[in-house]
Amino acid sequence: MLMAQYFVLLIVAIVLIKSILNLSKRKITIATFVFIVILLDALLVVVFMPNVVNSLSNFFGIERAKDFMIYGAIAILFYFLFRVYMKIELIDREISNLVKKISLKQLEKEWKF
Amino acid sequence: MSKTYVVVPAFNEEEMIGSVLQKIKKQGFRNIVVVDDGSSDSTAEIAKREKAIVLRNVVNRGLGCTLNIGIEAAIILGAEIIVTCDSDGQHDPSEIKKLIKPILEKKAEVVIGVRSFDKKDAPFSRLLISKGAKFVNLFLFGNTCNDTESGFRAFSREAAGKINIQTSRMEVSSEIVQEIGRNNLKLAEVPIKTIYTDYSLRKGQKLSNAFSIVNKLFLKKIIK
Repeated sequence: MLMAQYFVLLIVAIVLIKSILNLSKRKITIATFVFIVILLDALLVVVFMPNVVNSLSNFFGIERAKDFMIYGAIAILFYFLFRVYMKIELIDREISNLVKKISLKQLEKEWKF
Repeated sequence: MSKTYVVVPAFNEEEMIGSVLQKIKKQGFRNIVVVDDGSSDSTAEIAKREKAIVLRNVVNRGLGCTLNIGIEAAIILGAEIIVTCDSDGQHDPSEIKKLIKPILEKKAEVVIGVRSFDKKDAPFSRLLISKGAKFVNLFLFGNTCNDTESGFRAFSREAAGKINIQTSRMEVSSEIVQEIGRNNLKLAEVPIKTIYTDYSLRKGQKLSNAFSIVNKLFLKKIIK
């Protein structure tokens, strides 16, 4: 086994243990846990079964497997960026709702309505 | 006449808010709700001095959140008609009567004051923002309105209750037009004049906000 493969195996093990602990403490949802497991599986396939990546890149019509990996990584990063953006938007809405409740309370307190 | 409330969202408007409120009162509209969006100047104090009902946001949240609060407050206060008017002096309060007329005559549930960009004093940037917003609203969201970005509007109580504002900032104007379409509200457009001053131009919408506004409107569609 290559040094890089040992390294990836160690990272996967750490992330998996941390995710299981977080799931048991209910810090993450089952859906998030499944998503993490799928990502880790994908990482293991890429590192330990490079032929699969070659076949996949051929299937998508991309000549080099490395290019396929880079395109895939960019797509995944964009997806995460989008998720973070959505989360920020939802938090923004919650702050607005909170500010609204506080402001409307002034109608009762200060203006006696 | 029906109980009309004028909602005035304001952020650091101590220069203009006093004269705007005086002009509104001069037209016979005594029910005024000023929502101070976390101003650091004396906007709220001046508004209180002018006998407006003043609500203060604890932090600055933007036009959308502020309008939402003002409209909700007017509904709680028993408004039959709700008018929204900018606090930077670009709207002429003498046109409020013209604005609410279609609602009083039961010809419309929502009225939007449409600005004319014919005159030479209308800045090119404002014309560009208005036309750009009209294009985006028509082709991306299917809304037909001649001035989606106008802040001078009137709503019947029922219509105001149906409009669900979720965006917090400048994109609220387009969102309101979308909500009018979503709820099949009867819309009327009334031509209004706009008073362009250095001050109002400094305070209004910026062309650089366009991308962010479209982005937020898309996100609203996705999140629901």
